[in-house]
Amino acid sequence: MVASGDAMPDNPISPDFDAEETEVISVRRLMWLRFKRNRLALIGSAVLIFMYLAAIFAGFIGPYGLRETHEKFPASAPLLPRFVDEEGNFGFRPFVYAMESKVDPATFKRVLTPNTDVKHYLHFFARGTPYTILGVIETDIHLFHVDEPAKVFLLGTDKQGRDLFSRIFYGAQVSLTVGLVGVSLSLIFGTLIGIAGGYFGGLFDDASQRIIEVLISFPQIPLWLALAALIPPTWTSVQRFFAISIVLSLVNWGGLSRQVRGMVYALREEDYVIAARYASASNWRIITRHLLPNTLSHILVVATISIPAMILGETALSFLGLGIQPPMTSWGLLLNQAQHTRVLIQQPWLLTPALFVVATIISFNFLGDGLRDAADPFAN
Amino acid sequence: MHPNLLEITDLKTHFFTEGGVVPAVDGVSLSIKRGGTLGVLGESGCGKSVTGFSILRLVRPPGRIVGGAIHYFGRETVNGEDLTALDARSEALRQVRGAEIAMIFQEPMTSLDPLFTVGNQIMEAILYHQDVSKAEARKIAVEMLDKVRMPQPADVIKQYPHQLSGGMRQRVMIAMALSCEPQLLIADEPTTALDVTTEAQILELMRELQDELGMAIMFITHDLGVIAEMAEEVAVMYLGKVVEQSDIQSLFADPQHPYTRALMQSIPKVGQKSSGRLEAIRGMVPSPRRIPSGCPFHPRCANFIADLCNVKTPQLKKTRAGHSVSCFLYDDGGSSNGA
Amino acid sequence: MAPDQSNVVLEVQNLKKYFPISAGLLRREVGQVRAVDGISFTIPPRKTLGLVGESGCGKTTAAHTIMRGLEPTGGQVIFHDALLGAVDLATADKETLFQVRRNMQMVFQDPQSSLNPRMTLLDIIGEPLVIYKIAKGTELIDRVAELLKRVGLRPEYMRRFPHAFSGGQRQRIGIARALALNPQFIVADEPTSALDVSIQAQTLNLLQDLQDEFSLSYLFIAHDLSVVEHISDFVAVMYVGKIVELADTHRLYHSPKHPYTEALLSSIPRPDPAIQQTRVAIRGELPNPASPPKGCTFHPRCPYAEAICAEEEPALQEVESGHVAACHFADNLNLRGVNEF
Ligand SMILES: Nc1ncnc2c1ncn2[C@@H]1O[C@H](COP(=O)(O)OP(=O)(O)OP(=O)(O)O)[C@@H](O)[C@H]1O
Ligand SMILES: Nc1ncnc2c1ncn2[C@@H]1O[C@H](COP(=O)(O)OP(=O)(O)OP(=O)(O)O)[C@@H](O)[C@H]1O
Ligand code: SF4
Ligand SMILES: [Mg+2]
Ligand SMILES: [Mg+2]
Repeated sequence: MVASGDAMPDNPISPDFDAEETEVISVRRLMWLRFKRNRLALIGSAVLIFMYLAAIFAGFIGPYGLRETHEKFPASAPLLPRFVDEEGNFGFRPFVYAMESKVDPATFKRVLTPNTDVKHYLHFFARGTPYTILGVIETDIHLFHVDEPAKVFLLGTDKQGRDLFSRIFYGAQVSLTVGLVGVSLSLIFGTLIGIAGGYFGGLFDDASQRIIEVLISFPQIPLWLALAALIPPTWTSVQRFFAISIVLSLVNWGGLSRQVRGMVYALREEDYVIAARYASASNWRIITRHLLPNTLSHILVVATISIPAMILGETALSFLGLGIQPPMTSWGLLLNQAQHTRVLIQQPWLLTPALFVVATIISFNFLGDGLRDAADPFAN
Repeated sequence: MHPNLLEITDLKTHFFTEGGVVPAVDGVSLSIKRGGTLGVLGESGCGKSVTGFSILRLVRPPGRIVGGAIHYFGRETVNGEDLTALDARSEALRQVRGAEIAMIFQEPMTSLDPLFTVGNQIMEAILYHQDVSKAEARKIAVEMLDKVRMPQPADVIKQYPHQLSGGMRQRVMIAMALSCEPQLLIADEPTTALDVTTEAQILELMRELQDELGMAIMFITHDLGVIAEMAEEVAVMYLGKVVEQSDIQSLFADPQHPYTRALMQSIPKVGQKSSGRLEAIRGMVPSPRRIPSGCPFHPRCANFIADLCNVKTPQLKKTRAGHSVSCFLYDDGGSSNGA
Repeated sequence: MAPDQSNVVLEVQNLKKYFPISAGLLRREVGQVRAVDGISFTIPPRKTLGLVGESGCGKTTAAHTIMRGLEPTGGQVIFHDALLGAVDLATADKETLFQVRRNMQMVFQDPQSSLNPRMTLLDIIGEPLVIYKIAKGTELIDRVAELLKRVGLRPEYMRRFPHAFSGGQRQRIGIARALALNPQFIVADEPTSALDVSIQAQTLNLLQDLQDEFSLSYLFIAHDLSVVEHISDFVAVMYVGKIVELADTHRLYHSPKHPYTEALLSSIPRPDPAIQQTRVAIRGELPNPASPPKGCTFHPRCPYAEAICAEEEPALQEVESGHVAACHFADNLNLRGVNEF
C-alpha cells in the first residue's frame, strides 16, 4: 500500500477524505433543530413568552391599577370598546359610552345605562394611573386608556369594582413566578440529594429514597394545606409569597430528586465515567464534568414539567384562602371570588383567570415535551 | 413456472430527511431462485435491511420506494406480481406478508413483544393467515418449535421472551416466520447478535429447514464467513448499489470488484496467523448523504483510475457466466454506460 | 525504588469476582453470580494475551476487576509497575492506585458510550493529562494534537464533539485517551466488535503499531476467534467464569486440549465456500453463572463427557509446558485443530 506521506505514514487514512465526512453541527444547534421540529412546543413557548412579558408589563397592559376601585361599578359586566354607535354608524376608532349609574325607580336596583351623547374614544399609549415596571421604572403610559367618566372593563369587575383585566396581569406576576421560585428551590434540593444518592449510594441514598417515598405517597393538597396553615398570619405578603414557594417545593422536590438520582445512577456505569475513574478523576470532577453536563438538560426538562403542578398548587392554596393574601393578588386569589355558584351565574366573567391558568399549564407541558426531544439530540 | 421466485429490478428506496435525501437503496437489481439462497453482503449502512424492508413494503416515512419493480412469482401468480404496485394496506399485500414472504431480524428482542408468551405470539401469526381453531394453532406452534429443535417446546410456549436466551429467541423467531410455510424467508443478520457456537447451531438449523421445506432464503449479513457457509449466490452491496454479483464459488475464488477483494483481504483468516499487518481498506464508508461522484467506491479504491472512476458511474456487467461486476477495470473504457 | 526488570507485566492469580444476587424486600442475599471464578494468567512485556469466550462468560468483569473498577472477591492482581515495582492491585490503597493507573489503561467496546458526548476531544483526551498535572494550556493542546495524529485523526478536530465522528474514529479517540499517560499496559475490551469489517483492520493495525512503538502489553478481549488469533501471542479461553485452556496462539488453535476450545474452533464460519466444515456437535448454550453445573461446567454440552465429568471438577493442569487445560481427559483426547474440520 502506498504511503500517504501524512502524519500516519502507514495508516491508510487520507485526511481530506475524513474532513469531508464529518458534519460539524454543535450540540446546541442540534438541540435547537430538534426543538424546532415540535410545533406545539413552539406555540407553547410563544404563549409563555407572551404571558411573562405581560406579567412584567402588567401595569402597561391593564388600563387600571392593582388596587384601583371604581365604586360605582361593583360586579360590573364587561364594558367593551365598540366600533358601531347607537345609530349604526361604523368607525375604525374604538370608543366607549360613559355609563351612568341610576337606581331603577321600579325595582330599586342599581342599573347602568350608557350615555350615548358622547363617544369616548380609546387613547393608545396614553397617560393614566402611574405604576412601576419591575419595581424600578416609574411611568404612567398605558396600552390603552379612556378618559373619565367613561370606563373600559374588558373582563368586567369584581364586587369591589376592580378591573379584572388589569388585575389578571398583576396576578400573573405572582402566579407565574411562584412556580419559578418553587422550582428553583426544588431544583437545588432535588439535584443535590439526587446526585449524592445516585452517585454515592449507601445509607444516605437509602434514607433519602425512603423520605421521598413517604413524601410522594402523601396526598398533595392536604399536605400543602397543612404546611400553608403553618405560615404565621402576621407575615407580610412578600414573606408569604416566599413561604408559599417553599411549601410548594417541599412537596415537589422529591419527584425531581428521584429522576435525577435515576439518571445519575444509570450514567455512573457509562463507559466514559468509568474511563474517567480509571484516569483517577476525583468524585468532584466526575460529578461536575461528566454527570452534571449530561443530566442538566434532562433536569431542566423535568423542572419545566413540574412548574405546572406548582402553579396549580398556588392556585389551589389561594383559592382556598390559604395562599397569597390581599393586597397581593394571584390567579388563585382572583378565582377565590368565584367560589359560589350564585356568583358564577351572575358574574361568569370572574372565571376568566382560570383560562389563563389552563393556557399557561398547557403551554408549559408543550414546552416540556419539546425540551424533552431537544435534550436527547442524538436519539435516532 | 417462472424459474425465479423474486425479481428486483432497479429498485430505488430513498429517505427524505431534513439533512437531505438518503439514497439508501439506489438501483438494485437482484433475483432469487425458487428454493435458492441469495446472500446479500455489505457493511453497515449499505442498504441491506432497507432492501429487505422494501420487498415486504415495510419502509416507513420519511422513506419511500421511488423507482423500480419487485416482481414476485408466487404460488398462483404466473406472470409475477409487482409488489411495489400494491397498496400498502391492501389485502393482497397482507397475504404476501408472512404467508408468502417472511422476515426475521438481527435483534430478536425488538421483534418479540415482551408482554406476551412465546406461544401467544406464534399462534397469533398462525391465526392471522390460516383458517384454524385456537387449539390447532397451538398444536402447530408446538410443532414449529419442535421443528426448530427447541428443547421442551410444550413448556417454552408458556414462557415470555425475556426468559429465553438469545439463541432460543432466534429459534422462536424462525419458528414464527416459518409457521405459514412461506416461499421466501428474508433473514436480516439473524446470527449477528449470537455467540459463535450458537451461531453455528442456528445456521445449521436454517440449512436443514431449507432442505426440509424448500423455501428460498435471502440471507443478509456483513460476515464473509457466514455468507460463504450459507449462500449459493451473492450480491455485494456498497452505498445502496450492488457492486458485484456472483455464485459463491466464483466470488471467493476470483473476487473482481476492488471492494470485494479489499474486504476479503482485510479480515484475518483463522488458522493462517501471520505476524504482519492486515491490508486495511483506507478511509471509511462515506455518509450516505454525500455519496461520491462516479463509482461510489472510488475514494477508497486501490485501483482508482483518475478522470474515469470519479466521473462516470460504472454499470453492472457480466464478466463471465453467473458473475457480474460494476467496475471500470472490467469495462472497455466505460463506453456503454449512460450515467 | 528500583525499576522493575522482571519479565512479566501482569500476574493474575486466582482472581474472583462474585456478584451477590439479592431478592425480597430487605434485599437479602440469596446467592451469587460467580462471574469470574478463580482465573490466573501472566502477561509478559510487549506481548498480547487474548481472552476469548462466549457472551456472559465473565470477560468484561475480569477486565474491570483487574483495573480495580470492581472490588475483587478474592485473588491477586500483581502489576509490575515501571516505577513502583510489583504492586498487588487487589489490595492497593488509593495512593498506590493513583500511581499505578498512569501505567495501565483501558479501551472500551462501545464507541458510543465510551466518550462523554458533552466534552470536546481536547477535554476527553486531555483529561488524564490534567488530572496527573502533566500538561496544561498550550502544552496540553500540543500533547493532544500529537496523540490525535498518532491515532490517525487530524489535530484540527480537537474542538469537536464525539457525535461528529464515526464508530471507527471514536474508537481511535478512545485509544488516544488510553495512550495519553503513556502506559505500559492496556486492557482492550472488544475494541473492534462494534466496528465494520473494513474499519476493524485499521484499528487492529493501529493497536499493533502502537504496541511496537510504545512497548505496550495488551490484554485483548474478544469473541471473534480470527481477530484474537491475529493479534495475540497467547490465548486464554474462558467458560462460565473460569479459564479452561491457555496456551500460545499457535498451539491453542492447532492442537487444542479442551473440548470447548475444539467446539469454538469448529464453529467459526470460514470465509471459504470450499471448506465443508464438519462441526463438533455441541448442544445447548452457556449455563447460568448463578447456578453452574456441578463437576466440569462444560459437561452438559461436551461430546466427550463421561461419568466423572458430572462429579468432579477438573483442575487446570499443564498438558505440555506452557499449555494448560482444565479437562479430565486433556491428555488422552485427540482433538482437532482449526484447520482439521
Ligand atoms: N428511517 C430512516 N431515516 C433516514 N435514513 C435511514 C432510515 N433508515 C435507514 N436509513 C439509511 O439508509 C441506509 C441504509 O440502511 P440499512 O439499515 O439498510 O443498512 P444496513 O445495510 O442494513 O446496515 P446494518 O448492517 O447496519 O444493518 C443507511 O445509511 C441509513 O442511514
Ligand atoms: N454488576 C453485576 N451484577 C450482577 N451480575 C453481573 C454484573 N455484571 C456482570 N454480571 C454477570 O456476570 C456474568 C459475566 O458478565 P460479563 O459482562 O463479564 O460477560 P462478558 O464475557 O464480558 O460478556 P459479553 O461478551 O456479553 O460482553 C454475566 O452473567 C452477567 O450477567
Ligand atoms: S472434563 Fe469432561 S466434560 Fe469437561 S471438557 Fe473434559 S471431557 Fe468434557
Ligand atoms: Mg441492517
Ligand atoms: Mg463484555
